[in-house]
Amino acid sequence: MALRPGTITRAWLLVLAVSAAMALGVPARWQGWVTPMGVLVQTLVAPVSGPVTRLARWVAPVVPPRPSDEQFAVIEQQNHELRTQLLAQIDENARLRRQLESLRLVVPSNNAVVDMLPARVLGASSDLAGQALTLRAGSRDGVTTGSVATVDFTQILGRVVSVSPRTCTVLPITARNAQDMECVVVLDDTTTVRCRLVPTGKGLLRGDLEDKRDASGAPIEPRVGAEVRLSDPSRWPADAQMLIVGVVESVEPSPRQPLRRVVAVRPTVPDLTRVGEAVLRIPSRDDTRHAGASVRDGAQGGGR
Amino acid sequence: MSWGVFALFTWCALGLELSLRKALSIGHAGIAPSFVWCLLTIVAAQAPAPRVLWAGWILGLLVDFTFMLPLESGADARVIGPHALGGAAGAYVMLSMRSLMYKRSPFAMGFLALAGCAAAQLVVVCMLTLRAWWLDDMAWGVMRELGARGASCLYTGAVMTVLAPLAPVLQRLMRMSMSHGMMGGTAARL
Repeated sequence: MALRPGTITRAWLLVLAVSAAMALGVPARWQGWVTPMGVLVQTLVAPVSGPVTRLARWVAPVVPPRPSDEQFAVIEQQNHELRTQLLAQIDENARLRRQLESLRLVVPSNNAVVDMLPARVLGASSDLAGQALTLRAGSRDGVTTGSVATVDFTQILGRVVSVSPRTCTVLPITARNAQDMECVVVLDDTTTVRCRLVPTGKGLLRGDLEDKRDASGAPIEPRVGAEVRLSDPSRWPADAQMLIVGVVESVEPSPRQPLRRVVAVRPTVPDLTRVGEAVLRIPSRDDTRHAGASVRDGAQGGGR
Repeated sequence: MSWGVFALFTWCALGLELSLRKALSIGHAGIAPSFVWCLLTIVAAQAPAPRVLWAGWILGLLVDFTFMLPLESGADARVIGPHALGGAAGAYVMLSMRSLMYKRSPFAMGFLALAGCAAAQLVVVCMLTLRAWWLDDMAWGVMRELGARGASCLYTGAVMTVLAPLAPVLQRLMRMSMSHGMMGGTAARL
């Protein structure tokens, strides 16, 4: 059925033409001003989206069930954090040893101290297929683009892709446009197998496993349920190394190279896009002062 | 139609869109209902045609503001246009169909939402596919998007069917004239 004459006015046609031109003719990098507008809209609707998100998470929580004993839960949490730190130190030592051997160069350790900033999830993307999350923490809290967000302190949620003074947007590691990550499958405290994981867009990450063999020449294959941790110092901050990416869900032969194996990894939280709260890892202000002191000490030492 | 009340409902619908949609989603493909589309359906069922078109464009524009393009780099980039044009197209489809519908049936509202949402998503997928082709490096699969968005449209239609009893109340609050829109008792008598 056609609309009545006069429904489509010149102003309306102009608006449609401008919309079409913006949609098809202007690259995203020239529409940078849209992001602050979007952040403003998200902030304005936060009084609705925040409480509804909390209510929805309360009705259907997605974080794995915790042990009933609170003290036990605290100890388990500390255990996870210490294990992360230990594995990060082992990884860092190995990297430095390799650099010492190959370059004869001493690289100072950059294990930064970070502050943990819990932040509520205000909402998600408005599009039917969007996967980004908006958190209630922004630049005034010390959050910067690239800050790492976790769930329960140890499970990586993703990285901050944009920040406003009060909110930030996090792209989960399982989003289909999230970048691939170098990881290690932890077999025990000393044995790891490297892999490069790519998000599948269905809540999983997949990637080829390194061909590693034991002393007898047999290939080392991870078992289902083994922990997978981040080990990507070139693209992720030092404080994020060895955080948990997920657990091995399956190990299959690679379709491209039958002798290689492909590992599928699922985060420990069932659906990262539905978490109610995240913990942001932001550079510690104390650490900044520390670093300044170290530089001053170094300079004085050099002068003497 | 009162634009002030419409703005208030838009605020609520967008808030629900950003919060409740994830909680109601099915699987990891992002199949979820759209509350913004439910609001547009309620408007499109009764409001004068020019206002419905403007409402569709405005709601689409707000979705554009809050939608991150799935760039390969993972950066936060948003563009104006795809959803705004989709909203206008969806509103046009709903306007074209509303006189054929029987307004007292909740299924008519559900079907109207489904048809409008499907038209809008088709426009959005076309626009973003063209963008992925010549403008931006995007993690974009046409068939995957059509599948997920088609299922989301069905879901939106189902949610609109459930919400249909609220429509007359919201329309009255928005001071919509009963002289426009879907058919009343004529279809029932026929």
